[in-house]
Parts: sequence; C-alpha cells; structure tokens
Amino acid sequence: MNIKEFDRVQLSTLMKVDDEKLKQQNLSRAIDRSANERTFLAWMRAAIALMGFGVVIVRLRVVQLPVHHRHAIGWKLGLIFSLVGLATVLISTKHYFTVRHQIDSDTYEPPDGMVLFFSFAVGLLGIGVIYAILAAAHGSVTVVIPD
Amino acid sequence: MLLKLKSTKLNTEKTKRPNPSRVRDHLANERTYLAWMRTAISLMGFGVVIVRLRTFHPPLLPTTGNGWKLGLLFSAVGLLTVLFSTKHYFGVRHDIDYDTYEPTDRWVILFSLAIAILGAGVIYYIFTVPSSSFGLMTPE
Repeated sequence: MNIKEFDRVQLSTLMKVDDEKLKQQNLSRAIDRSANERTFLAWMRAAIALMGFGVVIVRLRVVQLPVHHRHAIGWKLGLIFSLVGLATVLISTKHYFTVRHQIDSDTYEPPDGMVLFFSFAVGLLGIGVIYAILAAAHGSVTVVIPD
Repeated sequence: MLLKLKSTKLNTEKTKRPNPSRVRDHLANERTYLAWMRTAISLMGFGVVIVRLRTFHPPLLPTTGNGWKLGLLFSAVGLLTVLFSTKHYFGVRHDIDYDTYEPTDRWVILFSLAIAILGAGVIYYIFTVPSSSFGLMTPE
C-alpha cells in the first residue's frame, strides 16, 4: 500500500465517520425537537390551568347574600387569571418557534425573561388570592359572591 | 493531516458544547419548572374554592366560619411554591451549563410534607363542619 492509497482509505473511513456523525446529529436534533414540543405543551397546560381557575373563581357561589352586595372582586381575579393564561399561550407559542429555529441553527440558550415573567405573574395572582381571602374573612363577606 | 484537522475541529466543538444533551436538559428543566408552577396554580385555585364552597361554611350563618384559614394556607403554600420553583429553575439551569447537576430530595420531601398537612386540614374541616351531611360539596 503506498501513501496515496493509504490516504484514500483514511479519507473514506473519515467520510464514513462523518456520515455516522451526521446521522447521530440528526437523531439528536429530532430528540431536541420533540423535547421542545413537550415543553410547549407543558406551557399550554399551565395556561389552561390558569384559565380554568379563572372560570372556576368566577362561577363558584358560596353563600346566598342579599342582592345589593354584588360588588365583588371575585370576577376581577378570575379575569386576571384568564388574561395571564391567554398571554402565556401567545408568548409560549412564539417561544416554541424561536427555540425550534435555535435548535436548527445550534444556538440554543435557555430562557430566563419568560420564566421570570411567568413567576412574577403567578406570584402576583397568589398575592391577589391571599388578599381576597383575607378580605372575605375580615371585611364584608361580599368579596366572595359572584353572580 | 486530515485526521489532525478533524480532531481539532472536534475539540473546538467539544469546548463549545460540553454536553451533547444540553438542549434536552434545559428543556426538561423548563418542563419541571412548569410542572411546579401548575401545582402552585392548583393550590391557589383550591384555596379559592375552599373559601367559596358551602361545605366549609356553617349553614345559615352570615359568617364565613373557619374555612378561610384553610384556604389561606393553601394559597400561601402555592405562593411559596412559585418562589422556590423559580429559584430552583435558575439553580438547575446553572448546574446544567456547568455540568454539576445533583438531584435534591429536599424540596420533594418538604413539599409532600406541606401537602400532607393540608390534606389533614381538609379532612379535619370536613368532619368538623356542623351538619355536613346536608348539601355536602354543593356549590349552589
């Protein structure tokens, strides 16, 4: 085997390795893409949970009280829950396509602003819920009366 | 020559992406965070439901009874879960990038303890509400 031939053999094995690597990369990319899709679905589930609780908060009735006690904050809380859920749907859909593009171009960076925003929103909702419960317990009972 | 070229290329790639499953790990971390957040949302929602359900109110009295305390506890645990899961998300994110992730049991044990206490509270309230056999769980 002369040197030229040796080089050729070397080259072909290298190409084979390259091919294998390419295949592996494709596989890894497919796994990453489905992981991205699962993450998107998890965001959707979180949004659905928010909207569902918005509806539950508005729809539940506790005690019958006189009709003139109708200025409740319950429906506002429910509305805010649903709006945050809706915003989550929009933002996470946009995020899904961004990450898809990032996976294809190998420039993925984990999100932080979006996560912080979501935590902030849900934290504010929690504070609102606690406030509503305290107001219901101490002030008038009207807070918990939706129509 | 070619081999050398290839090895250097591989090396640069290795320094750029130390972990081949980095993207997957980050996405899984995000999903875990979202699962925690969903749990927190459920807890808050359940807190509101408890305050609003008639089961936890003494019937025919204009007061709200003691149910609001339980609802408050649920919501407070939900709020704490939001804080801790956000902190945990950023911690794990850092660990994935530096390849130093270690699973922790602490939060899981703490959380199950909190939920167990809340469940005990729910059972306690169900059995201490006067004449609970009438209209149990009717939201009216």
